[in-house]
Amino acid sequence: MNKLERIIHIEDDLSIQEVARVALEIVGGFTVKSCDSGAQGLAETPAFNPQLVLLDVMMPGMDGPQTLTELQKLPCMANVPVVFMTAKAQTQEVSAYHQLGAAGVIIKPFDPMTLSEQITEIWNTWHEQ
Amino acid sequence: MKQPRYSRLAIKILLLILGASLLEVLLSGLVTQHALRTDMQNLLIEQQQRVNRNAVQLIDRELDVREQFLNTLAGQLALSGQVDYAASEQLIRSQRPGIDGYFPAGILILNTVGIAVGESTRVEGRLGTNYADRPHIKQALSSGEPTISKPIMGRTMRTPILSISAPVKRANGEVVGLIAGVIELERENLFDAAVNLTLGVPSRLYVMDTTHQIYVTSTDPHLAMQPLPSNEASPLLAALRSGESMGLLANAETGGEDLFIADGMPNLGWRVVSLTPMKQITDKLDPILAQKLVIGLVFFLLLSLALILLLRRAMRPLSSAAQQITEMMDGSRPIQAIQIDRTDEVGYLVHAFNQLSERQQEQALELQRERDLLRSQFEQSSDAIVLLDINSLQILEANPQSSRLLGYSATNLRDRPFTELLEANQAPLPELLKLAMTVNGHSNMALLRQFGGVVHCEVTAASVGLPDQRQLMLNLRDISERLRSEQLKNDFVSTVSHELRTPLTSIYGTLRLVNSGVLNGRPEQASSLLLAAEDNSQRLTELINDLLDIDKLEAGKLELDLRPLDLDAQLQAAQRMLSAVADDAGVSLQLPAPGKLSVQADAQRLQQVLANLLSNAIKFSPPGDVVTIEVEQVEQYIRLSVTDNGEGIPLAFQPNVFQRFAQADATATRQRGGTGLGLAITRSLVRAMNGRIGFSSMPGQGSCFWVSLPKALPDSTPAHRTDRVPDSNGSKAHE
Repeated sequence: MNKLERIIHIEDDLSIQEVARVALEIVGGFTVKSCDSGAQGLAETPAFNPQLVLLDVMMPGMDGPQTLTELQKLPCMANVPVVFMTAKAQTQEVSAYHQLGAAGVIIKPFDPMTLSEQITEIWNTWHEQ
Repeated sequence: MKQPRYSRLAIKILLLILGASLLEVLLSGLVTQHALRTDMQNLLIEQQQRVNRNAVQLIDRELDVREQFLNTLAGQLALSGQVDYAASEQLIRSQRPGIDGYFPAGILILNTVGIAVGESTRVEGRLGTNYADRPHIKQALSSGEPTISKPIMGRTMRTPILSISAPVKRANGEVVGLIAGVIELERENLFDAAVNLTLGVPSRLYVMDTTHQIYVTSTDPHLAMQPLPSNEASPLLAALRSGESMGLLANAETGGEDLFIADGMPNLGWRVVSLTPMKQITDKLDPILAQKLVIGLVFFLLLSLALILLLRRAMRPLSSAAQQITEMMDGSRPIQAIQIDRTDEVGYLVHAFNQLSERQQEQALELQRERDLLRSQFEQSSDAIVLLDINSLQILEANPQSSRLLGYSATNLRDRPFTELLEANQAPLPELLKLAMTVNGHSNMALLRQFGGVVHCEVTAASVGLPDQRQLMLNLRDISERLRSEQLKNDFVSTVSHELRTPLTSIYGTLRLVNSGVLNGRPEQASSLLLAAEDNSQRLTELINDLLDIDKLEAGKLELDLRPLDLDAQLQAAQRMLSAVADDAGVSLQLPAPGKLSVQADAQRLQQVLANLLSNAIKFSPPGDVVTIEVEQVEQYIRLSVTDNGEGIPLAFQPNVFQRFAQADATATRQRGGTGLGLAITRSLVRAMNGRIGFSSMPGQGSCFWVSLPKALPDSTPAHRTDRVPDSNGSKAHE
């Protein structure tokens, strides 16, 4: 199992995008590619070749689940976990994300100081299975 | 209905009583006959025993009297000293009346050697005959004691006789002669009295010498001296010889039985036997029985007559009551109490029937009332009610609400299998019904409407009806609206939660990063994050204010100060408030020419409404465009319209424009700002101020939102209170 290094973060709210970037790059030491929309994320993914995708749910245009479905069609996503990061986190909503194929769900507001650990744990669990 | 025959009961009673009476008469006749026969028989036996004993005593006494008479004669003859012809003649002459009385056949006087020396009745050749060879003569002469002979054939008389001998003795005891009294057995003699002792019953009497097995005499005197018949020839003799002294013998001649009774005379070796035919008894009984039977029959007839009369009298009211009941049943008589003036069982029965009938009528009325009540509940229920056949689960009946709920007419619902109404992908109907039938339970069913669409129902079920006609009554409560409202509530909670969490994420994340010192040495990045956090704090505040407004509006708690407001001043205030936003967007606001119109409204809330509509128009207008405000009076209302030339509202979204958190682009919030509650709040405010709100829009050609508010009341003076135009609070309404 390779070490987790490259993460794509797809999020339309720029302030959250910024908080997450600082949390993952400065606190976690990952290489992060931030995208403002699902479409942008899909476009950047093949070139960036992420090891994990962090995906917002409520986005203009293509929302999180739609983006996930499209991402799953990409060959480079064959063994890449997708983690939802959302404020819509009622029980039935979370289970719906898992059914869609999400490797994990991080609930907003999240703690930027432990976000990297959370992501690493999901990454590890994903690869153990 | 077949008419019952009411006379049958009376006839049955009559037949029963008369049959019993007849049986009683016959039985008592039989018992009486039997008792009488037994009694008569016993009486007869007793009587005959008495007769027989009397006959014995009579014979004994007669013989004794004659023997005493002969002894007296012998005594007199002894006194004469010589027993010879002369003494005998003298004695006979002197005693002639006694001799003829006791011995009509005569006496014979023998001398000491047994030669006849005298006779009271002259018989040729008897005097001088020696009788000493006769055993009883010889015994009397030798013993000196009187003897009675056995029946013997008279030597000279040539007829059967009986001889009583009395010896003639001197004082010293010497026997000097003998006097023999002759009793002719075939003629009237001393037995006649005994033989005729039958007390009116034609019995026969036999005196038998059992020693010599001959008859001494009998009712038929010719039997005298006749030998007794053999056992074979005579059952009577056979019975006597076997030692019986009383009994019944079959009589071949009469076909009946004969009673025989025997008494002994031991000193003579005789038996006195009486024979009485039993037929005599029955002959006497028959008339008695016939008489009793006649009396019984007469009594029976009288009883029958009385019974018929009594029964007819007793049955008449019963028949009348039955007739009345029958007429009530076939409808030819109104149902009412039967009138009858009786205090007996019939009266009691009729009274009981009247009470029963009354109670039944009360119950029928009560049932009718309950049925009407249930029927009207069924017809008017706000729940749909359907009755199913418990086996086929076909619809038997459905109330009007069912038709409204499912779209089918009542006729279309009837006989339709309920399964057909069930939407696919649900548990099987029996399973749902089972759940619906549990106490306090229900099941949820999605039912298909006739012309498409699904209605969600909460269903309870109960088994009703008679045991052999069970039905299922289903109560279908439309919960579509409730489900929709629950869904809306869930969506609202979810949306509110999302809308609160999103700005909080930026605020919390920024503060956490700054405080942790991660951003030390990166002041630009920290500053950018803090600015964003500040914006998000602002957004959070607006959102919370909007939510509170929504809550107040929905609870009807918003206090409004409705008063006449000068419209020009209000519009100018709104323009001032939004000028900065418009400038930022490069959009200009165009107000109408002053029109001196005034509206009846709350100044602060009117500003909120205008700010919301204007900020929306600015937000969706391309830079360099113009947002136009127009005012016109339509009857008692002032109509304000705000028009932009923006992208317009997609047709599919137009019905949801005023919904909370509804946005054509679900995530426009982040792009365009706003809470998603602005238009919902605006509509509520306009309605609270007795106005109306609406819009028209074509995608790609802009939108026009209008508000119609009541014109200010004529006698009131418009307030130029621009100082009350909202401050920072008023700017919250934009979207």
